[in-house]
Amino acid sequence: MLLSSYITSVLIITVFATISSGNIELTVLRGVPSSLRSKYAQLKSFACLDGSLTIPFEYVNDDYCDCRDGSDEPGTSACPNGRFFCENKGYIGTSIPSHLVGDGICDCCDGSDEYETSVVCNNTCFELAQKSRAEQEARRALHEVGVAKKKDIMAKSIAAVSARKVRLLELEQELRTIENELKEKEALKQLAEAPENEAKEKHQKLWDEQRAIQLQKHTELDTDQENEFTVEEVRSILGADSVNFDEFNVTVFEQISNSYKKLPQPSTEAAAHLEDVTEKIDEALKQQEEATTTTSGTKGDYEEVTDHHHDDDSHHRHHHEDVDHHHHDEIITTVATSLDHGKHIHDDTAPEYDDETKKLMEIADHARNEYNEVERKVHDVKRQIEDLRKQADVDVGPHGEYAAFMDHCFDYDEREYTYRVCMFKDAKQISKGGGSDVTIGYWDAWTGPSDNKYLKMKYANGATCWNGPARSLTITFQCGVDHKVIDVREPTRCEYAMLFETPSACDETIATTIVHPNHEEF
Amino acid sequence: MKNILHLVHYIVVLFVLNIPSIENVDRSNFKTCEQSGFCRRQRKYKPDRSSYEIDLNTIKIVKSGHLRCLLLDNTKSHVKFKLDIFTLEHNSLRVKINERNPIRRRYEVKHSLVGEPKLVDMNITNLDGNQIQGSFGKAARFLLHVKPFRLDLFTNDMFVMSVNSKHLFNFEHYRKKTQSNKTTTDNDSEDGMWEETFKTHKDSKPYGPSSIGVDVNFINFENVYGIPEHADAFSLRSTHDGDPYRLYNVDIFEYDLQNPMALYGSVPYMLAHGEHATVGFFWMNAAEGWIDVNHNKNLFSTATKPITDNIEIPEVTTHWMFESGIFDGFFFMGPTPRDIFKQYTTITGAAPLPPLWAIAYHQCRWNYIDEDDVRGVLNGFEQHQIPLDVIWLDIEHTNGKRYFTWDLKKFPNPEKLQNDIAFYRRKLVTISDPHIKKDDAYHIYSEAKARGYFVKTKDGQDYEGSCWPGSSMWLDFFNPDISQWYSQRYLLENYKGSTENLFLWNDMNEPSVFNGPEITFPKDLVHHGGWEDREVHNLYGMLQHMSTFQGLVNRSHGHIRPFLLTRSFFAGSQRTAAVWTGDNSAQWSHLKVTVPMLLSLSVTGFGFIGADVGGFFSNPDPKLLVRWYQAAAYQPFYREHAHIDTTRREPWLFGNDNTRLIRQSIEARYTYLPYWYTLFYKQERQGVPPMLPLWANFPKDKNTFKTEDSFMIGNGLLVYPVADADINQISVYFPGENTIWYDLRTFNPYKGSETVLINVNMESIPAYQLGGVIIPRRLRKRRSSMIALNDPITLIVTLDRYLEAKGELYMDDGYTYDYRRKRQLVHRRFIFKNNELRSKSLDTSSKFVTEAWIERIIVLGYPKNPNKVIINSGDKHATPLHSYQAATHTLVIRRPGPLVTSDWTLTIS
Repeated sequence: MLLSSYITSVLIITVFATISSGNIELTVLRGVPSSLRSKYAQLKSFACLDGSLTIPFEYVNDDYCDCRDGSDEPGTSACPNGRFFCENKGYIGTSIPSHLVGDGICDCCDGSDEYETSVVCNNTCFELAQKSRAEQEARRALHEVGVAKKKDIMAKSIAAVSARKVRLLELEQELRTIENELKEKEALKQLAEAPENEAKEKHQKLWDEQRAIQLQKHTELDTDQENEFTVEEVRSILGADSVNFDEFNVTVFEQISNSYKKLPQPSTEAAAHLEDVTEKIDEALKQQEEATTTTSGTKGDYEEVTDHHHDDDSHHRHHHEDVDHHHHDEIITTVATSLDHGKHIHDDTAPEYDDETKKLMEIADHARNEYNEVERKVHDVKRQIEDLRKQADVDVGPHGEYAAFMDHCFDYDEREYTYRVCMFKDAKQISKGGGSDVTIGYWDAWTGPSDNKYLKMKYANGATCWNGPARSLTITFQCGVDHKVIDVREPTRCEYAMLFETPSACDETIATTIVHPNHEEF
Repeated sequence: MKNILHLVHYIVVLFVLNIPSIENVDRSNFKTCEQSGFCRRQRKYKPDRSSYEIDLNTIKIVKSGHLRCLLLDNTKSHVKFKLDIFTLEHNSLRVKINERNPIRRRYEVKHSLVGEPKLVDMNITNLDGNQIQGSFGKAARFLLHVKPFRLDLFTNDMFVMSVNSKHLFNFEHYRKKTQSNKTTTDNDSEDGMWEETFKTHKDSKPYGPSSIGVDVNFINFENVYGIPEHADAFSLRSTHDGDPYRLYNVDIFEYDLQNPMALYGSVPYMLAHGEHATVGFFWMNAAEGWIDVNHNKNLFSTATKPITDNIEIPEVTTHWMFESGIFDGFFFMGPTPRDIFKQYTTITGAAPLPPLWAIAYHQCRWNYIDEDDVRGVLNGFEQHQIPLDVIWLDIEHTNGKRYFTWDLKKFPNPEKLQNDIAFYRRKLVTISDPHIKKDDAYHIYSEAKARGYFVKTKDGQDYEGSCWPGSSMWLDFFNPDISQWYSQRYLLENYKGSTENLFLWNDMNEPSVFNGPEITFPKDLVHHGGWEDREVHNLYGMLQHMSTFQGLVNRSHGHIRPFLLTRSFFAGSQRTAAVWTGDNSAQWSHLKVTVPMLLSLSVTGFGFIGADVGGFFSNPDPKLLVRWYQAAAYQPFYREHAHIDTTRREPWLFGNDNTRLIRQSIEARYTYLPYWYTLFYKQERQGVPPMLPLWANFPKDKNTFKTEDSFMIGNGLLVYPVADADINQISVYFPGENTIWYDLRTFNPYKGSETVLINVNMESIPAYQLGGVIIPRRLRKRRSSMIALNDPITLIVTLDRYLEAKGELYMDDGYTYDYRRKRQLVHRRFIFKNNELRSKSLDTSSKFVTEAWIERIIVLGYPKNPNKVIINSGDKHATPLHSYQAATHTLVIRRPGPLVTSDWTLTIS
């Protein structure tokens, strides 16, 4: 039960039957602050400050609690909920709970709370005031240095913001330009790829025809003359009961492949076509060159992208499909599966394109490369724009106070771990003993109190604790001359707390409040 | 290998620590009766007629109060037993049965006894050839039946207890291992005699079977209590459809409720209470025990007191089974609850008066991380104006779980920290567990190792197991030299960084061994004297804390009262340690079970007891936390404690409203400290625990015999914890005929023997003061209890229907033994009668001087507004002011003013 309510529940109902005018001495108005002195005028009666009761004035500070709000005993410990005012001359007057009065512990610097006990309290108000002034001055000086740095950060932040804006505009402009360029390159690519495809198809067609003829020539293999290899045929070729793929490959397939190495001849028709294509592309290129002179140059820091899919091995695959066609025998299926993968077919078995096709391919490759290069540029610029926009979205304080944190990580070394926070990104606990790193949170939000949101930031949803919650980190900022982690602890399992010093948390009001040696406040 | 071992330990530690909190105890880690060979054998033993007989020719009176005879087993002519009957002071009887010439000496517990029990004369009459009767004490009588052996007990001519009336007495004598024994294996009914395997652990049983079973029956009783520690009902349940209640000190992880599984401590003491009498049976045995309980109705007749035919008498039959030792039974004949408390504590000792600060509020957590954290928490109590007396440090404060050391990175200056804590007259408690880290560089280990101080395996090697520090060894406290050496570790010069402001906590002392069978010692370990752990297991924790206690006494050269908390305990532990109910959970059901668990401990001698506020495992809902603070404010040991994986739980972390409610609960506790302290003093003197079942004060009120939703503090306060999440009414039964109960929130009176629906809100839990009682309180607030020592007292006088009331107040310096050695105490009696309230000394030799005075007297139930109140103290007279509230019949006397130490009379006219 609440002490005060206990007493009041008695006293609310109290009407004193007699009022003694006995030997109650008038007490000094101990514990009453000057602001309330008028309420304690030494009249016949005293009204409890909450108005709940009126009592004879003799009851004030008579070491018995009468008022529900404890206001009749500001100078004694009689009321559990009273307030005692320490005058603290030379320092700041302070109101303390009245249960600290007479408890043998000096709570007021003037010792006034222990007037009735044998405890001797030294008056420490003067020292306290000096110390307090020194501390305030040190604090002010710290904030002053910090604020200067903070202003620098803010200025840089403003510059960075406008630079970012300019850069963004530039990039958007560039994007528009290279997107146009990309369209043109795509057209050129298509222009070059059409005749290339045509030539390749033609080459393919010739090749297929040639192969059909060749296959027909191998009647010695196709013993039943049904244009298919059967198990029986393979067995007879190999002269064995078991069908061994390697053997088949070596003894038979290679033999067949060799007969295909003869190349088809380029036709005159095709040569004329090549000339035509070259002309068209040159023309388009000229037009394009004129256009590109107006675009600004982009940084050409691209990696060489290699295309490994130029060789077309479909010819061989075709052949193999023919071989395994219709056969469901387990052993043959094995052979067919292996052949299907085509990995045993050497590139040198592939026939070469004729010169004209080669030339067309070369032109098309060039067009493709150019297209790809521009496409990469577009991608890169888009990424840069996205990054810049993301940066712009990060809340670095109303005036960019915390902008200096952007893209920076800070470490704190403790006995077992290094704690690393990468601002606006994530926080990690890195084991010194060689264990794996644990993410203790990802950037979440500013979580300071409503009047000072930027006092704290939170990293949430880190790795989940075994049998516990997801880890999280709360950083509390305080003014300091450098960006520095001061302390990391884990007050509750998996909830980390970091203390961080930074000029960004310094306060201009504190920095400019000059501490006078004899300030009025004291 | 070493690494693998370490890894194994690590895994084991994780396992024990971190089973998901929704899962409760893994029951398969602990034996059922069926898995415990001797329990299985004894439970199966059901002869039609007992084969045990007294040899009449051997009966002799050894000395006054001591009768001896031989007991024979007519199925085994070669085995003889000696039976000793001792009649003891305070209406008590002791019966010992042991093998006459055992091939191996059997263990007899001594540590439970506070001294050698004092014999009183017995008057023997040989009624006929088959019965011997002995009278003793205050109208107590035993009747020894010869053939078969049976012992009946009477108090005030009422037949109350009977031994072996169900023919279950069965003493497994020591025997030589023969070939036939060896081949007697698994499927045989006599299995498990020479070897037993549980999970991966083999118990070698080198000495074979040695168990004892006996039935002890409580005649004309319907309720039995005690045999802690179990998380179960206060009035013990019948066990016929499950396992017996088990007594075997083990570290159970997240224990289940409402079951008979063993927990951290064991007290083989059972009480029976009925309208007519209260009696008790204590079998002093420290081996593993199982106890079956059954509620029956029976037709009875005995030679001396035939009971009319056709009347069925209720009876609680109990079947006790211990794995080893001897039968050493104490029978307490009552007949009142207060007699029983006196009788049991005469044998095992009464809990001593704790320091005043120890019964105030304690703040604990696994773990307060470092000095800054501790200071921060202390500041929190200052800032939020919540009284606090003690702050605790769990295992993480040590250097790698090496007890008696500090992690100096976290606690670089422990002395300074303790001195700062002492500034507000607060205390620090640190933990010290019995496992000693195996590390040659650790001074405790290396010295103990060199001296051969560790418990041994059956092969004589130092036993090694794992616990918090990893690989560990355990001190053999059974050796008095080792106990003494251990106690010396607590001296200020040996425990570096400790000050006289530091007190102790012995945990994990069942002992807990992470990789041991049932998470404890293997039974075939060997202690000093060659005793197997099987014979002495349940004593281990007590021996540790007794030794710790001695160390703390010696630390101040016998000047300062120690405080010490233990998890494991045995009968007698109450003499040196406070006990808490171990690792409970943040669940409403666990709040509810605190009442039956604490009452079971209370009635078996443990007065200084509590449960972790809020629940140790997992995070309590703020409402549950508040309700727990409110309930525990009225329980003897008041400590908030939480597991390392829980979120922080300091009182101010749950919003202003909950902070206020918690502060209110703690403040309420502090207002009652003068009353609590008086009750603890009474316990030291009379053995009456401060927390009581309702029947202890209202022994004839049958409605209270099963009560476990409420309890009393002393004879004056009735408390109903609120242990349900969403209720706004609670059914309150007011015990006693013609009693009046005053609600201390509203001053409303309630009539006894009635059940009333009481409205509840979050502000408080229902609590009532009995009419006829005077309770001293301190309504002023202070930051800690020791600071309030000289503060004035308010007397709350609640009048009974005769407009009378009485009460007591005990005071001393709150922390030294000067109250015993120098009579530095005040013990007052207050009597309100015939419109007069008198204060007189109950101890005329007392010399304590205090400034404390009587600042207020509140009389509830006073019929009319008096004209005048006069107070006379010696030759001084005064007329203090008073006020009267007619609606509630409340008289308040303002500043009556006498010193607490003076005689005075207040006259109302």
